[in-house]
Amino acid sequence: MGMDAHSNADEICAMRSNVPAPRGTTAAPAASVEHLTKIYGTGDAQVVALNDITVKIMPGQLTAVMGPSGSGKSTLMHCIAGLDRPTSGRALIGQTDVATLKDRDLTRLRRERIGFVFQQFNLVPTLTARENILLPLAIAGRKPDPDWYDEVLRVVDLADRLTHKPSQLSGGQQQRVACARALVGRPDIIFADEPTGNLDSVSAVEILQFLRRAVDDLGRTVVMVTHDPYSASYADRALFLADGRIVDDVSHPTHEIVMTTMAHLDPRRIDRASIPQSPSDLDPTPVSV
Amino acid sequence: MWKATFTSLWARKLRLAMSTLAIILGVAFVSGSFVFSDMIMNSFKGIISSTISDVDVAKDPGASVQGGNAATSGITPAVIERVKQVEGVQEAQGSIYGTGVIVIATSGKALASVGPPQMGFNWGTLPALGGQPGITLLSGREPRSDDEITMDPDTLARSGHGLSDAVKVITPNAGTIEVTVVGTATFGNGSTAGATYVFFTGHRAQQIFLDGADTYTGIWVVTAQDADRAATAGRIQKLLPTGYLARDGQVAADAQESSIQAAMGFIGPFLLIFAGVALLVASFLIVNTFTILVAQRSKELALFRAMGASKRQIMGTVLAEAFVLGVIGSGIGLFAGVGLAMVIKQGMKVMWDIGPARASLSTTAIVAALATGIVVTLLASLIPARRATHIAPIEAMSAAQTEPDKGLGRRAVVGVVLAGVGAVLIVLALTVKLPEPMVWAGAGMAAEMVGVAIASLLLGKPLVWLVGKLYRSAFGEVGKLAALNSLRQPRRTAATASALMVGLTLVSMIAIFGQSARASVVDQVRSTVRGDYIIGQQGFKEFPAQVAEKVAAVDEVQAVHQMKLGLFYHVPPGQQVPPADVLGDKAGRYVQPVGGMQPTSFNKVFTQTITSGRMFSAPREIIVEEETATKEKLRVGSTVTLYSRDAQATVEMTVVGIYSKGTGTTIVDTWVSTSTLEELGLGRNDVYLGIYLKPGADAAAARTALDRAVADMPLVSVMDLQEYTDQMLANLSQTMALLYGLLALSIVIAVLGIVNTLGLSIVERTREIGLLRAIALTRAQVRRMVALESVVIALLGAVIGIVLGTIFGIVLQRVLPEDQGITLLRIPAGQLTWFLVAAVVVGVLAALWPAHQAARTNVLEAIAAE
Repeated sequence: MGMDAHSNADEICAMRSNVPAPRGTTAAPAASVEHLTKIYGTGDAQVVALNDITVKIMPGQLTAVMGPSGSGKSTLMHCIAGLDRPTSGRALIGQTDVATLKDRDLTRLRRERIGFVFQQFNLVPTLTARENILLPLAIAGRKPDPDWYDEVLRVVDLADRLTHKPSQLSGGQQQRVACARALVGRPDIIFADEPTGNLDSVSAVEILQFLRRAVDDLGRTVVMVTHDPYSASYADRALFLADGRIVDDVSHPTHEIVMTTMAHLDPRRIDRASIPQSPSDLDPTPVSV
Repeated sequence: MWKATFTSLWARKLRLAMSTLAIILGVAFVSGSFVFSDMIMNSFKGIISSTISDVDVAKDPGASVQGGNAATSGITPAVIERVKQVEGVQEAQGSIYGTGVIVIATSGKALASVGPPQMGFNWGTLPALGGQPGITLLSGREPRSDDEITMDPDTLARSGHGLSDAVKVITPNAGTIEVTVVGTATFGNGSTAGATYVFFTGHRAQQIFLDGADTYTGIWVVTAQDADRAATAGRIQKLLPTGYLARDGQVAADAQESSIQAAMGFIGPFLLIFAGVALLVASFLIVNTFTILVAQRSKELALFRAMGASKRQIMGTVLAEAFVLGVIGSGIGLFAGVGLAMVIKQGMKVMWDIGPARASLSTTAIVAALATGIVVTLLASLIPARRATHIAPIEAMSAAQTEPDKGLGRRAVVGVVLAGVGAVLIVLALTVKLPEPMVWAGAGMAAEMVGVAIASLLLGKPLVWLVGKLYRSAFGEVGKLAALNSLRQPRRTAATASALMVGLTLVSMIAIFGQSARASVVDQVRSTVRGDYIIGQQGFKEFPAQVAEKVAAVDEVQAVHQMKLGLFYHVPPGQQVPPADVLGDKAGRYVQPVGGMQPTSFNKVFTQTITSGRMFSAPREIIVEEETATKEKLRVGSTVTLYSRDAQATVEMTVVGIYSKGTGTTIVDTWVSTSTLEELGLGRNDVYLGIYLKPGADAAAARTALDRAVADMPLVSVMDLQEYTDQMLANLSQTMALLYGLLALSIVIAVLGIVNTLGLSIVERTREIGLLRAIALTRAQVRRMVALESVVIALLGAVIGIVLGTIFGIVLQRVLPEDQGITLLRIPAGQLTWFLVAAVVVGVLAALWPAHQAARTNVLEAIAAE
């Protein structure tokens, strides 16, 4: 874990937990929320998206945030990642309270300590795959650590696609580029918002395996928002949200446990709960959040 | 379907507001051009119709009184009495009219101007042509004694005087007189178009214009209501002395109008060229906007298609939307044009006041403006509308909502071909001796400009590449993103940049023209003008010969050399008088000015050297400048036949010498002895004095003494060489200011075009900007990215524009006839550099609003956007 690549971000580096704790231990959390509440709208139109949530995201883990549509799982991610401001409570990346940061510092935090993989439209269309991967580093004026860069490229298996524009890449390839971008700056934490939501099952498995390796081989911390039980089965831990509250917290979730829990949370899913067993059985048209 | 169209129109009101603005600006320029030329023409028409009576009796410009003087054979009161008896005549009054009546303002300065004339009249009470009001009293009363005058209200206001003030007036024959203003009056309801009207009593007018003889310069005839004007004119004609002509007033009015139209004719095309430029620029803007709008709507249109709407219906909605916008934009633009015309009029006031002309919309203006606005908008939306119908529903619903990037494609070919044709025309105009090289070069430049505008990105690609390099090193990744963004929609960037390009091409061309003209004038003055001090006015206006006497009396002055001026017309061989159309030409295109001086003043007024023959020594001997002599095939011993309208006489003169004027230019290229002019009753006044000081005289003291000597002569002032040059250039500076003003408007449109395009691009890239905000960019960086993209567009337009303008400027200087006096070519590099800097500033300013919008992008909404 080299510090050298981050030397121009001293105050942030000083705060970060650069050595991930081994899985299952109770080290300092990579991110956490304390009594986080998020309310949209006012008066009659008021919607409580998050209701007094407190949770810690442990480093070196792949955490899945699960829940039916409207459960607040995306809002939770947005609040932790500094994309949305909580109504009350705290959201921390390491020890930094993101809710108190000004736009400039927040942008810097996102650029240097967080990696993002969105459901779609992850890439800047004018840039090549390589340029997209290096974009956050380039904006920050940093050079990638060559060994780390090669390692990331090897893991996402994109070496021969680097000079392609996003329009020349398949959906799966685009998501892999996005993953590489999220990883290359060695962020404290990677947020993946429905990363497989728009992909065919084969590509989806590739991405899930990749996220898994990011944790296992590269020692990253990943938070993945998903509504898909199969995806969740790749996680070390699954948080289940319903109506803005955490209703369950499962370690080493299996496909079956996730299915059962989800079915319990969302009655609409019961009749379909037992079917998908393998990636090829995944629902090809996922419901978006 | 229709309801959906209107709902969708409303939903995108911001974008619509921007495209409507594009239409408004384009149409405003077109309608403004029409309104302004109408304003000028109407102000003249108003004057003409109320300054002419039912039957117009005046000196016949085509007649010649051999060797006689008009003043001696004028219209006597007896003639008028006889005219009153003519069948069909209801009433007749003698009228007197002349020019050169100059009012002196409270400041002591003469209210003289180069353009409109300063006219004097005797007071008349009869109605004008067709019973319209003639001389109309506006305040006070008419002049009743010789020391009273009435003048037009504008001149009174400009003079700073009020009613019943004592005013000094300079007159042609009676010197400076002191009179009292007792009222204000004008002809009809018309304005004076910047001219001065001073009304005197008949007796005073005779003193001023007719050397006190009891005659008139014309007759103001009112016909009986049912009388045939032409027949009455015929009957009156028989009673008139030779050299006078009675005409149907309507015929006279039409003739005057058409000659004024010919003289003012340049204004219409001139403004229409600007309107054309504006329209071209606005069309780019409109096409651009609609292409983007429809592209962004493709998803919605595809949904309509999926729901069963036919291609025809889709086409219909897009065109209907364009039509609604076209009508609204053109409607507003039409009236905005009236405002624009008023602004131009105010802007022009410094150099040419056309008086309180009222702006009105003629049918032509309305039709032209509305048609252009609506047709251009419809055409602009036709291409994207066609594209919209060709998109398969499924494809459109899943694809990104952007205009397909097809590069420049066919447009580049068309542009390059057009530019090639233009280049060939320009080269032909410069190298081959074509008739009317200006027309060829003009057409070539127009084709070149449009061609380059169409293909601008093709030509600009290296430039954008270079700017991209610079950006990368100066602004890093943000600069790179900006440069890449400017290249992602080449057509859009090209069209947006073209708008600015067109404006800057013209601005640069004019800058070069102005600088060359300035340098040429300075050069000419320096190599032409002799003497230590000069008295002379722009346009060689006459001043009394007393000035020379007073100057000669100054101690320090050694000699004063006078120049006089006679205006002649060439008489074709075998004829006595020039053709009527030559004489009737109010624009003065055929006037041949002949200078007059004492034989001893040779090479003392202006630089002159005899190259063959000798200097004139006797009347009716003439010397001719060598180039003119070659052109007109004149040699020593040739005869020249000239006609003077003022003297109504034809004279034959013998060329006795050919001279060279060196590199300089003067307005006259033929000179005669003052005695030649005096013989014809001309040359009473001087137009120019070359003043020589005694050797060793104190220049400062001499200047003070000279200034004092002419202090009571409001028309003249003493100038040194530098002041004289400045005076020569004053008009040029004003013309340049006006041209820059007009072009500034086209640049404003171009800037709004950049704002529009960028704004729409930002909307289109919402998701991408959201992504960039999420993963990397601060708000400030987003703003910078947009600003840099804007600067790329501005620079692209500016660089191509300036290069093209420089070429055009050089071509213009080369192709202009030599007698226009632009002999030197000067490229104002500093000024052109400033244009480039200004373009960068313009780019930054244009980006302010779009950049603000982009920076405000809500990251969550953007990444969640469908």
